[in-house]
Amino acid sequence: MPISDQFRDDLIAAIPGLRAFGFSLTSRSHRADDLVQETLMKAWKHHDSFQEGTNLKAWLYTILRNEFYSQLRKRRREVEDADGHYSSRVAVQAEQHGHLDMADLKTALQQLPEDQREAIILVGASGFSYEEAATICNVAIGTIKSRVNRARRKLGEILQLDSANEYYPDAHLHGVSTASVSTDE
Amino acid sequence: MTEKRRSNAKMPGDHSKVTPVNIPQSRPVQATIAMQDLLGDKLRAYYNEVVREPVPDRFDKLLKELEARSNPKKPG
Repeated sequence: MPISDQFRDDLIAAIPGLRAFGFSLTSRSHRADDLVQETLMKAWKHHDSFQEGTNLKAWLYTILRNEFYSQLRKRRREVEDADGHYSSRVAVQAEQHGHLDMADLKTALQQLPEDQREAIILVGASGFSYEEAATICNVAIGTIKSRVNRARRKLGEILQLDSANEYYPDAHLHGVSTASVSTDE
Repeated sequence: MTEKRRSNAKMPGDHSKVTPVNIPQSRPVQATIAMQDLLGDKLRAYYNEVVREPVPDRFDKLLKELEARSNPKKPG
């Protein structure tokens, strides 16, 4: 079956989101782009297994996620081989990306277990429903919900969002409130 | 001393004011919601920062390659 222009255009349109998902999982730009490249190649090769009219975005995110885990397993095997034991490596040096606030969030995300990280990103940032996220991660909806809740709690603790709220109850609105102060000059 | 204190405590006409107390459950619930909003904003900002980046050339090249491979001799 030939590949339709529509399919190609949809792949192109999905690239920015896939890069963001890849970056959220790996916290490394080049690794994210390698994941996206693999994803596009696999999607192209297996385009026959995609059912037209179903959710292409979710299909592509599933491919990227599977690729991420297969690379992770490979990486861990290599670490195991080299060290004789498995060592969990949390992102030690965070690549600078964006302002300080974002760097904090990035470091915090890396402290979450992969399953919670992907769940909170898919639901909280990529805009997938719990149901779609459950399909992408191949688990029950309830599992996704509890992972999202645990991730939220943990990120809130790490970023100390609860204490920030004590002092700046409208912190997330500060842009609005300052913008509303205007003079007639 | 103790007697004095006791008598103070029993002063007639001392209707100690009842301090208005915040509705107990609403505060933590509100804080949780505010925290989730704040976290949601942060997550989306973090994610969208990458979404808005220009797409690297390698992907344009890759798709052209893939297309060329699947249509080796496109009649033109």
